[in-house]
Amino acid sequence: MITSQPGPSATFSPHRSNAIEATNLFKTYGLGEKQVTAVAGVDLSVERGAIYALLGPNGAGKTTTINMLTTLVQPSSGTASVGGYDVVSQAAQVRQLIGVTFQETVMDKNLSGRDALDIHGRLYQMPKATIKAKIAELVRLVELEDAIDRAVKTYSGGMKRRLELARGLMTGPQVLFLDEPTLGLDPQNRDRIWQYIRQLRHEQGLTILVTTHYMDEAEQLADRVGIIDYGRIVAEGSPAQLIEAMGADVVTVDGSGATARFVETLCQQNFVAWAKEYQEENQPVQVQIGLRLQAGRSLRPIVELAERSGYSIADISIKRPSLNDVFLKYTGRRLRD
Amino acid sequence: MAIIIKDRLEQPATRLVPVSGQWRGLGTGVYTLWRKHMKKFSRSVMEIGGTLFTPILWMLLFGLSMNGMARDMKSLPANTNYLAYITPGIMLLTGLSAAIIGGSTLLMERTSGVIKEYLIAPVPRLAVLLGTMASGLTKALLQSVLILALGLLLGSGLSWNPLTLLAGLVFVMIYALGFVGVAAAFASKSRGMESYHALITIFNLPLLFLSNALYPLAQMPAFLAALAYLNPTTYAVDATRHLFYGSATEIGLLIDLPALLIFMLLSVWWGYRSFQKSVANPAG
Repeated sequence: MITSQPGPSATFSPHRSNAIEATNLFKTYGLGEKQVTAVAGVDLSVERGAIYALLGPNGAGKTTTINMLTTLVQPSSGTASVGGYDVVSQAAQVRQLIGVTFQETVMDKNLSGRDALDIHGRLYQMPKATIKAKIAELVRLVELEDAIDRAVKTYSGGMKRRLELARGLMTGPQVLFLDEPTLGLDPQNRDRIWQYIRQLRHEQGLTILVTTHYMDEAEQLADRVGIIDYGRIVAEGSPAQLIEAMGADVVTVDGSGATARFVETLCQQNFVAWAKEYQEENQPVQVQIGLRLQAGRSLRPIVELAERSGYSIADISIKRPSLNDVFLKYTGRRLRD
Repeated sequence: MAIIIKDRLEQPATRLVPVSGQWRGLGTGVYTLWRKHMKKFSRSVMEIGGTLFTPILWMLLFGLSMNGMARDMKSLPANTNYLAYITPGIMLLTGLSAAIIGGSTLLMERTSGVIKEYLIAPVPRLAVLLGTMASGLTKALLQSVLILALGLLLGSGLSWNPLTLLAGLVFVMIYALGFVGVAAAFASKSRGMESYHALITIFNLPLLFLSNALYPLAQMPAFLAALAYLNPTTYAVDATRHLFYGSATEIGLLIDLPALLIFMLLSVWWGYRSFQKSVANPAG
């Protein structure tokens, strides 16, 4: 396609090397008393070709962050760039470069899957022949050959998600934003979606920013994970780094009594990396302890310390830390599916 | 959390109006969306049937039964039957309903999130509004012409001068475009389908009865006639009745045309402003 405008195959601006950059990004809605801060100073950088997972509870600011990066809403303050182009002043270039899958299904039920992809291609002014070829290619990728000419209302949830993924890829994007691409899908469909994503990254070197509720997904697939809570990124790193920082083992103690004193004493011990107390609604108080050593040798001292501090243990469990524990440590909440 | 930040977004969306070089994007965007909406329309039996059902009933029941009774209505223009007398009004009201129902696509796309696909596409945001308006207008014109044809079948007659026919259609178009603007404004402001649909009910009958659509202005009580003069339907009926059926005008084309143009421009502007506000913060 010969055009002076950046076409669907537009390339990164040469000025910067990171695919996504955000500095001190803020977004507030409403005015005065009713003002709500959805994003409160997000800093983000995603290397080209990386898969970055944004993890956070509902309302943490994941979707708002994506909305700003995809030029749908303007930041209240701070700057962000995608492919080296500013999301506010160079929105047109950014739009040529990105593909987006929104959280809620945004498909017209009465049109066929092919119509949806065709309309998308036309909106991006792709030549008709390219649209046709691209549809054929993507329909094979997401395995919708049999359904593509049927109305979208006959699709299952997984099929709709796959169609949306295909639509996000229609314009040959370099950066793909996926907002909860596997939300509400059964394990089989989740696996399929992730398989496509891996394949795309492998074949085309796509940069992918994904938000997800599923820890295991982030742990297995993302190169980097950012944990977002109350509109801020509270921890960031590769899944392995984040988990390593948790210590060798995590011990969870259920019980009652002088919890605060118990935690305080624990923190003074050499073998303890960190200790925190949690309480979830209608649940007994829990203490989580990150250990520097294998748990076997530490259990006895923990029990003794509990007795000395006046905390009586009801139950005790040991496990290797997971991203779930990382999440709990930084947000004080468990992420539920 | 009350972090106070100067919100840049309260300004109207900066990308709404195309800057030079974006005109091609505007054209493509409008055409793509118009085409999409028309495709959906052609597949939606409910939308077509829902708009046409009431006016067809009006024509058949009211028009035909009143036809005999109204024959000796003194102020009815000579050589005009009652069916020809009421067809313009019913045709225009059909156009109005079609425009408002057509405008609900904007509301549905806004509330369901479909609009996000357009808003991040490299087409100006104005294209989203114009594409929707263009499809609303097309639907309104198609259905108006259908009512005109139905009247013809039932014996309303028609003046076959191509120039006056064309001029008549231009009036229908200006009138319908006015309500396309109203529809766009309501679609941008409404929170849901229920309140939007109440709109059709609110508009339909009062606009029909508070006009010269069913009875001449001269026979109306003064205060009703005063209200009728505030109703754009009155001017559109006056003009189309004259142009399509050769009846004498009650007001005159020279007043009808500017009155309708003012109505159309004001409501399109209103629709544009409301749309602009709604997309400045689509996720809010």
